[in-house]
Amino acid sequence: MEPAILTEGLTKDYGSHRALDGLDLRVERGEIFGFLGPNGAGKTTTIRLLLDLIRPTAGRATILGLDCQRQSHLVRAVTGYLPGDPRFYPNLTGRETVELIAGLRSRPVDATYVASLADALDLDLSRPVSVLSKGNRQKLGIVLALLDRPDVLLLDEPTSGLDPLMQQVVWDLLRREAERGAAVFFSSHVMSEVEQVCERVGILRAGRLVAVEPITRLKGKSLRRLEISFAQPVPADAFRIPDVREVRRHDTSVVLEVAGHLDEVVKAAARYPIIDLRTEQPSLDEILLTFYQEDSR
Amino acid sequence: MTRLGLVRKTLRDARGATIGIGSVIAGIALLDVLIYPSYKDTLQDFEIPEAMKGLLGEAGSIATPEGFLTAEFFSWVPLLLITLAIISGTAAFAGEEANGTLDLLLAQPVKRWRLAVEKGLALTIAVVLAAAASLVGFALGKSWAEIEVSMGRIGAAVANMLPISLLFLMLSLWLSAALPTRGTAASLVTGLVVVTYFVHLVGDLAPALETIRKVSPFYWAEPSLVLMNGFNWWRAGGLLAIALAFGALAVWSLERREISQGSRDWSIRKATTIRRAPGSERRSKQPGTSAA
Repeated sequence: MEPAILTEGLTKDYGSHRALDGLDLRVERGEIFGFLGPNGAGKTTTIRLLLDLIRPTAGRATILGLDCQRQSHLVRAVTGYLPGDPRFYPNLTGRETVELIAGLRSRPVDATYVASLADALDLDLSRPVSVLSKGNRQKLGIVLALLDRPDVLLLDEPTSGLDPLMQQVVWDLLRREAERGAAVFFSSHVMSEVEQVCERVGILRAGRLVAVEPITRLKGKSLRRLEISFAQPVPADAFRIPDVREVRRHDTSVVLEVAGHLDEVVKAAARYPIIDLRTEQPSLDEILLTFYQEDSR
Repeated sequence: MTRLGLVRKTLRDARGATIGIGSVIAGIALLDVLIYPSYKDTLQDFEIPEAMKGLLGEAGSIATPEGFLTAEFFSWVPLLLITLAIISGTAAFAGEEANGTLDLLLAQPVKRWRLAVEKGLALTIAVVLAAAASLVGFALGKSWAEIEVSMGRIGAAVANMLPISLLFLMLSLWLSAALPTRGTAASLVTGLVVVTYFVHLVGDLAPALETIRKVSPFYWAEPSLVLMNGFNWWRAGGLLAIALAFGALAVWSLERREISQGSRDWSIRKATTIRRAPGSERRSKQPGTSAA
């Protein structure tokens, strides 16, 4: 079966600036895939290339086996899109916007489903778009992306501007979409949301894909902080071990940053009497930092 | 809502400008017809300045109904229609892109050529409606005042305003699809309108300008000839052919346009640079994916 999204050597240059550098990626149907990276890393560029809003300098992309450039209108027929900063016609109401876009979709739009979406998101479709807050515009964008239950969802920072309660609602919606077989591809620099919903994560930095990992493995190989209290001061070179950095030393306690497994650190520490040992679960921010650091070598 | 929704939406967006300019044109038409009987005797002795004779076209005298309507209405009212064309034409693509709404449309299963055709069709309807409003003004005026030009000839002269207006509409659409910003597109079209109108106006003052004058589309849209001799299909057809060529270029340019999200994002520079930390792992790979 064709993957939901496939890119091969996808590259985009803006003049002398390479926004995306040879992206090779495969996302399966029914998968929720997080695309992580800081602003300017190439996340939005990737999504816009998939939708044929911009054209690649090199490489190719397919969605459900359809070429994103040559068959772009067929690609868009099976794809729902939420831009990073959704903008609408200010002279239309939410409902009129939904009707306008529904008229452009290939598949029929179920009014009951639209009403249930608006209901779940607590969105009043009768209000003019011009008076909607950033959060409500985001909700309208989500309704439009899910409008005809597309097979692939391309979402650029989907929970941006939403309160934590509403973020949960959106995550639930995305999980439900994935359960019925839709591929959900979303970009984010909000780590907590990726942790919440994604099965796999791609990490992008300066246009280059640094890693693609299941979220669980990503956490396992990341930096973690270790604070060890000893019964007596330990020698200065006690933790001179590859992939371990001594952050702080105070009398009989040492704070270490460890990249990867803890085995060697624990063995080194065990040579001295330990009173206490504490480890901090790394946040995804720290995980990303690890990947950015290693990529810039 | 059907696909016609896009045509309706475009018409709705241009509604304000269309109603506004249509009302002004209708008002001017009404006023011109109403004042002509009072002024026609005075105008017999009026010698129009040499530099302004271009406003009369081929009518010869401003005292004749054809000369009066040419000078007072048909020589310059097309500029109002062209203004509508520039406002709405340049908003179509570059304007929508700047507003971020072109994204909304092109993320749907709509072919770009179809979007261009539907927008072009809607704006053509808007220009035709604004021009047609003048017929209301002329008809009302003729029911109250006497002017010796048939409604048929007036209708032909009104129709004669359309090819040149549509030419600049399609030019606006093309530049809106080809150039990065609406401002650039509008400035270029406006500049071209001013230059070609001026060349046409002063063209017959000096023999040296006679050839250049024929380059101006206003020369081929001469209204006095239509008022005196009826609609000229060849001239109108020529202008419409150029309009169609610009329309085709608009489709071609839109097909090739890179759509930015509100503001153009090719100014994006390298992301945050973070110093390497000792001991961090190499990038990873897994089946089906690869790190670039």
